[in-house]
Amino acid sequence: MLLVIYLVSLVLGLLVALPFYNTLRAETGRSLAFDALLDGFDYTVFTDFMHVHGKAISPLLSVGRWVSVVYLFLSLFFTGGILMRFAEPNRYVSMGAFWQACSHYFRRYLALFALVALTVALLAFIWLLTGTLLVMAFSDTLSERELFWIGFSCFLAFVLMATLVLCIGDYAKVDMMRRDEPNALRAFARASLLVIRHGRRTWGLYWLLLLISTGWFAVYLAFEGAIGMSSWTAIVLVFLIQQLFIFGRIGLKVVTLGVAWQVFDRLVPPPPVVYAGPVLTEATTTTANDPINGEPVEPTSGTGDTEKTAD
Amino acid sequence: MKRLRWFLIVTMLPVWGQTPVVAQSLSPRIANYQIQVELNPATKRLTGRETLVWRNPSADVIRELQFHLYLNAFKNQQSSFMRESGGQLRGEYIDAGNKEAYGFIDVLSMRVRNGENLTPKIQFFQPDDNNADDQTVIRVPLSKPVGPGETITLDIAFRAKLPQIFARTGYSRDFFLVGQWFPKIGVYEPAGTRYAMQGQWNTHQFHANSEFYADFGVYDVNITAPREYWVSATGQMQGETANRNGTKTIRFRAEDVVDFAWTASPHFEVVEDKWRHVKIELLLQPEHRYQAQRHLDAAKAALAYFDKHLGRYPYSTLTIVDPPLHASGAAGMEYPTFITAGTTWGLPQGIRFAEMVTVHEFGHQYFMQLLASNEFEEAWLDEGFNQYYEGRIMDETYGRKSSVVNWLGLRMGDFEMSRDAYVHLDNPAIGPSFGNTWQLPEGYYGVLTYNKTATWMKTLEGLLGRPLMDEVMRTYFNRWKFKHPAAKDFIAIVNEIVPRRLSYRYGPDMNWFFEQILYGDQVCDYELKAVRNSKQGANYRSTITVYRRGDARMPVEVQVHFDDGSEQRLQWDGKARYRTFMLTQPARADWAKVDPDRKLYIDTNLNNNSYAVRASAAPVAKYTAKLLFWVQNVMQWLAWLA
Repeated sequence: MLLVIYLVSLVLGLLVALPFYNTLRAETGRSLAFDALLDGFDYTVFTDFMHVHGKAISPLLSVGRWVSVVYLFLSLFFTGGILMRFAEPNRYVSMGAFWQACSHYFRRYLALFALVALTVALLAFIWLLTGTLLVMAFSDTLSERELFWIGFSCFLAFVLMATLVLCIGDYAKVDMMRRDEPNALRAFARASLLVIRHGRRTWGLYWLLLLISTGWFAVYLAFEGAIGMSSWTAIVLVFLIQQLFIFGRIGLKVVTLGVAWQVFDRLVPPPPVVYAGPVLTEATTTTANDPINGEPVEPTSGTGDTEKTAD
Repeated sequence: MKRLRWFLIVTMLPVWGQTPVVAQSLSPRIANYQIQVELNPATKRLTGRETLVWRNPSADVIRELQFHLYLNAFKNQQSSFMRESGGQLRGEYIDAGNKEAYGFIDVLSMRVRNGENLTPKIQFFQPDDNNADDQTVIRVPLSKPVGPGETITLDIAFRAKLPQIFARTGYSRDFFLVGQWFPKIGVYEPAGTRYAMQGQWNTHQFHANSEFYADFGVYDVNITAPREYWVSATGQMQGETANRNGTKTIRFRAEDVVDFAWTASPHFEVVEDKWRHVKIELLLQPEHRYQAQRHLDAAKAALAYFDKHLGRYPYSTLTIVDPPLHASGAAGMEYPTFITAGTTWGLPQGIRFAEMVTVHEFGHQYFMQLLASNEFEEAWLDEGFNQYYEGRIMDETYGRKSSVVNWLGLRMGDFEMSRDAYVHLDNPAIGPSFGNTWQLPEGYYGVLTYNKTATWMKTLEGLLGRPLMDEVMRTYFNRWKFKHPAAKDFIAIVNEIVPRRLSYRYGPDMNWFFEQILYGDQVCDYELKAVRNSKQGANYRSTITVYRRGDARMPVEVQVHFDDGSEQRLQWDGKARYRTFMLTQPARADWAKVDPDRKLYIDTNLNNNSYAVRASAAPVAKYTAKLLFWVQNVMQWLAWLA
């Protein structure tokens, strides 16, 4: 699963990078000027290049933006499959079942994403407005430094609240799967209460994972700085480190969802209904309604762990 | 360290003709002022009395005097300045709906000492654009003319309202930067001065894209302001008197200068330092106090550099004002011995804007003040030359490739910045550097005046070599300091020195250079188009093709590197559209470069100056890997939303 997601990210990235490489090779021609870039950024080489060839590069960078948006929706799509893995920790889940879960929950998570994105955008607007009004109100009385801290505090408040909303979003995803909840708003509301009641175990862990991610980034930058990219060997080495880093980041995102599942499991008693996740192809009989095909689902027997009973 | 100047009661009252600070006269001292001015911080008004002693420098009989009333540029939206600028300068806008944002100056009376009352004879006129609403220049006919070499003494009373700062001068809250604030006589150019075929007044209206032009003189100025205000100004402080009404009067005297500006604010943090004979006074905003050393280091670097490479700074003071952020329209301006810098709290060490502005504005002590060129007609002569020296000082002090920005892996040198601004214009052939500032192509004043000039000066340095360039500049400085030089005077010095020193390598004169680059709009771009090798017996025949893509014609060198490590340099006059060199050598040509030493810094594309038979793909691979990595990272950041 992790490898699949990584490969998707790599393929999408290559959609930008390969044309970029070819375009760059064609546009730079046989000039020696670009050798200066091996030792670091060179303003003259860069600006001369962009002035002449900027129009050839801009569309490729634009593709990068679109590819990122595509990946955003693919990530939404993958979420159902990832969470299903955590729902079935002791059982082999085929790729077919993985894709089935992905597609099953996609619409629900899309609605949840819309809710989360709207809330984050609303928060951004509120804090931008608050910051602007505060800075305007105190611009005659406070110093530059104090005004900066007012603005920065508003930004910090936005970041804290945005991470809270994103954390709630993760728990809402778990809630939607655990309770087979089709309504994103209800799941978000329940998850909000849960996260606020258990802030340290939910939001605190979320921040811990964010800090780990940031720490990795710092480690990467230190590696890149130390190795440099001034020779073929160094370029290949840094490329491998970069891809390892990206793989790690994808893993961290998966772990974040896994942590949310585990914490949710511990904090919320399982609902008094039969677990109604997507039926795996190996399942034999079911009694509850299958949310995918609507057929009655019988409790499974044998080694499969495709159901959870009520308390 | 705050000076509590108002505790000092100095008994010495201002007396005209007091012992000068500098023992001997350095300049012609044509326009000499004694001014008493009082600032009312509440109404933002100045009340002043001015005694002007003006000497006729020509052999002509002068029948009228002309004056600048610069503050009237801010009187309303109809002045030429406001029409041209649209109420905006350097990104700052005048608050058009607020009448307190405007400024003006009224001459209340003007009399010849012991003679004629000139007040009723004052006429506004518009020598540049016939805009009848512009009141920035006046003329005053004289009943009794001023004969050759004679002096006239005028007593002038005036009042002025300062504008809210948006173009160098004015007020912002309780900060005052007072420049171009008094009735200032124009320059009478005797025949032979600059381009004057006969004696003439050179008094231009105040334009959006112009600065000033004035004669040298002595300024003796008494400034009255509230006691809690710190006041600094052009020249040396002579003394301070505490008045009974809660104000104080501070006297300043400046000799051999072309202008006088001052500042007042109750909030300055004052830091003093010294460089050789120069007392440096740095007036900082309290929250910028921690950046004092950055400003002082930059000022000292500039002082030392100009002293070494151009000539001595003849004054004993240098005042650097750091305006508050809300008065940023006053930042980055130059007056004699008095400059404004500009910074913000939290500016990283690696972003050297404060240093750059300090170095630039100090440079105007040479290009504007000591070499008092006409900034209306030949702004490139001060701004462009100064930009060139800014590049030299910044790059040699802070690093050639990182002098302006060296932060988070981004690096930018000062000359790189100047060149970028010019060569990457949408149309670098838009116009010459030379010309009246208000008639340059709209929106291109800055780049043609500052950046293009700095770039072609660096190119001239490349062609001449640094030692010869320094000799030219030193000769220009020594010959023209305390005078009004023009383009032709600089070119004459280049033509006098360069052909002789370079054994006529570039011909009998360098006019071909200035005609293309200063007066013309030619664009320079040479390209190393191809390197081909073919076997010829035991040797190889290498064919190197160079294109002249631009319309500028410059002599260039071509460097050819062979695969046995040997190299060869070829000369080309650069005039034809292309040139093919054929070389027969035992080794194959590996690569070639046109203008390998980057003498032609004005070349609009330096990336096409080289050609390698086997070019490495490593730089492209490096940036492709980086791009891939960052695209993947952006994806992951977005994935946290999902």
